Amino acid sequence: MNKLFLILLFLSTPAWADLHVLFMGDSLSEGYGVTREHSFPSVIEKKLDEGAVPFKVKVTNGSVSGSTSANAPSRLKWFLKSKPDILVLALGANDGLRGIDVKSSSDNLAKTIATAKENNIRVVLTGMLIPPNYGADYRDKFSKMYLTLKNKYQLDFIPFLLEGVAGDKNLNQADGIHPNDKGHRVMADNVLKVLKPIMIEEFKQRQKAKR
Amino acid sequence: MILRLAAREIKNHPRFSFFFVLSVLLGLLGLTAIESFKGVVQTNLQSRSKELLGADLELSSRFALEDRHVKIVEQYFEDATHLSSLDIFSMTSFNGASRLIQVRAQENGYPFYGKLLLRSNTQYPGDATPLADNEAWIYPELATQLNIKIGDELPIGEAVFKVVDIVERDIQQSMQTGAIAPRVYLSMDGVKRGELIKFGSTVGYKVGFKFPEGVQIDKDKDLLDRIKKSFDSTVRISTPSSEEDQVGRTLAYLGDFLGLVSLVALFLASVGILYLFQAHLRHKAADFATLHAIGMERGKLVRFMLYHLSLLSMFGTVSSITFGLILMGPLKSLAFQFLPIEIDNLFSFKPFVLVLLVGIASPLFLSIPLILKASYLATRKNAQKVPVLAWAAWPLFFAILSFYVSKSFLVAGAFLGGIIIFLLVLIPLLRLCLNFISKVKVKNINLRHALLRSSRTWAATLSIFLAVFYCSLVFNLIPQLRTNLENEISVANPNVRPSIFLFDVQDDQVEDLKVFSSQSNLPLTNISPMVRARLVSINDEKYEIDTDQKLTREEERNARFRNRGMNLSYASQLNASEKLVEGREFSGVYQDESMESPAEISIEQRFATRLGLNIGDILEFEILGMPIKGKVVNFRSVRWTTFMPNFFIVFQEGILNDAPKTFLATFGQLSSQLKDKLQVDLFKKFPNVSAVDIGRVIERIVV
Repeated sequence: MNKLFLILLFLSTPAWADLHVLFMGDSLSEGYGVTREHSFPSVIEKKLDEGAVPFKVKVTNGSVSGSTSANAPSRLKWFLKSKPDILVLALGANDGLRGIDVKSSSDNLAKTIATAKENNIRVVLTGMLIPPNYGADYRDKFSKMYLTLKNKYQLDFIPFLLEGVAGDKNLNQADGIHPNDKGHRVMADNVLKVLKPIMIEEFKQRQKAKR
Repeated sequence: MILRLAAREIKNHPRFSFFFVLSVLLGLLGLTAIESFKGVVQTNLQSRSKELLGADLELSSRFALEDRHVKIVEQYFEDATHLSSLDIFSMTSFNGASRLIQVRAQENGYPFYGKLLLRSNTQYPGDATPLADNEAWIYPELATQLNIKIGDELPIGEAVFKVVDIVERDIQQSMQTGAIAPRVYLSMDGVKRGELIKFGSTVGYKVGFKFPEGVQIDKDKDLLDRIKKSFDSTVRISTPSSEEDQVGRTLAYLGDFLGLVSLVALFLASVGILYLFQAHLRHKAADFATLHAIGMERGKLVRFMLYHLSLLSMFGTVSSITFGLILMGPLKSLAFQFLPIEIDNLFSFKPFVLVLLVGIASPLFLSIPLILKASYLATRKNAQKVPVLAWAAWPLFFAILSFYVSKSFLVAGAFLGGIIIFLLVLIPLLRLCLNFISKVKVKNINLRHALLRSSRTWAATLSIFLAVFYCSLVFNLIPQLRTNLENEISVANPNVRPSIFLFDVQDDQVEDLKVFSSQSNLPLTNISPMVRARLVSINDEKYEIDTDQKLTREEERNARFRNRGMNLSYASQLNASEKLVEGREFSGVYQDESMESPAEISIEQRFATRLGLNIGDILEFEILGMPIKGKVVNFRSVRWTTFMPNFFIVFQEGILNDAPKTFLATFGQLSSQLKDKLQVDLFKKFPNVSAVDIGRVIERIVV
């Protein structure tokens, strides 16, 4: 049996799943510093398994700590083989923290979104805010990048992934940057609030299309 | 009167006195030179560690440090003074180009240790004029890359700052942060003026403490533990020893070796002194008997011999210290040719006090049983036995000294253990051999005499044998030590080591980067794949640690280490900076189409020790949702100072090749103009690729 085929078999949507959600992010989604089960995509998966939606959902966490948006197009190509239905695109934070040119980040995300769309994957874009210390100019350009992409590609949008978590000592690890277990639970609630209606809508549409 | 007699004895026996003083001198010379050298290196490293930290103790946190935090430290150290500093990443732009920078601001007078050297030939803290709220000092690479000159104005945050000087040397440049973003110094008021700290800002807050002279917190582990426990895990407590770098740690090898050399030298000298003094006492036996016959009591006789011995030891010790001082200069210049650190001429009295103590006490302890024996003989009390304590005094003294000098239970234990094994095992064997030799019929009279003498004075023969054994051991260790030092602390030859390190190169950028490299005629090397993974289990035992329960500070740190994922790579063979330590090389490309059998993996030896791994262990990883198993087939050492891309865990080729990955790469030796141009061009063509100037980082770390 071909190795690549085996990988695809493992990653692809199993027969039992009605929907496949792929999270593609950085350390915030990978769950840096917490166990895999406590990262917010895994918390969402658990909630879904427990009946948050009336159908079966497979969740894949394709997040990589330290990754920038530059890695998004090739990473999505890898996961295309597993046929995701929804892509939660949570990248860009490291671009901002490393001061990467906003145009370059925007191009990378746009390329990823376009590829997803071409493959009939619904994209949920999660925005990031850059800390004020990076200066108003860079911060504004960075925030506008997400809004421009959202409007251009008509995307579902979560304005700030760390809403209610950033800056709260109780919800973050000692480094003050990465959420702790509690922080991931808050993020899971925030994301699920937006994601749940999208999943239901998408499930219905795909069921209809199958018929 | 006895002292005068003892002094006259020295004059009456010039040959004995000369050889005795010479033995003490030579025996102690190694100890004097080595202890002084070790003392100087240690003092320098301590002061260097303080300079790296900038304080005797530092609190740091991503959350604002308040008065209550300072008061906790002040509870323990009332006389401590403290100053604050902070680090913030920000953006600046000039001539139409933007650049990430690391802003550092510190209260006037901070750091307490270590200085910034500025291009204006001034130092801070020192004769440099402190920064006004609208002024900045910048790193030279920022000046070059953005073409900034002194007097130009840089926008940072909400304000503009005038560049008033360039930082030429900064010992507190850290490898991790400073390499990604050049540093810009502002005053604390400057940070306020730039409105850099607002809700949501990511700031590294620090408070440094300076303790009164003589307080060394690193020596009081209990106190340090108590202080650490007074803070929550968001506050990190650093001391100079926690800042000790690779150089400091690996110099321990040198220290161990020098300790061993000291012990051997001392042991050899002791053997020499013992036989010399024994012969002298035998020679003087009739004189002692006469002295006793004319009325000198046994106690006075013992004192006479002790005074005589002490005077000789004193001469030997003082001469040794004098020679040791003379030798220090050449020894330092010789040693610093291969030590990658600059060492100041700091003088320490401590080693000389030790040598003085050893020089007088060692011959004394060694000779007490001989003196007692001689006194019994002179006073016709032959039957009286020398107390066991008198015989045990020197071995005990030597054992304590071994631990003190080597500062290592391992080295001292191995050395003393060697002697004990020798005494228990080899002595009976060698005696048998000597017995056999004595019975051999040899016609040559000289050879016959030599053989008989060797077997009759068996104790002397065995001592010489032991001394030669240890000498050979030390000589044999020299090449090993040299290899260790070269591997561990000497930074790779500047002509060979990379000058620019690239990371976050994407799969589809590798070819473009190669084209860019050949078009620019720049040597792109060491292109290494990097795959992000989570270690799930070791031999089916869960590796990650749950963090939703209450954890101690240490448990929390350990959990962060285990739960943060790791970077894997794959290769067909070891690279030039790696060496196989245990196990075997990869068998080739991974072939199992079913992917059921674990792939072969190679683990860096220290990482393997930290994880408690053995050859043959099975590690399960998760790579973006895909489980992959690996079997440890070898441990390898990595010479990290080559600054080549290296990984703790490397897979054999064929299993990770299809996984999503990024690449690390390096550019070989480049001139500084080329480096600056390259960084600017790279930034334009590959904006996501970060380029770290290794050369500048190494210069700051090493000098």
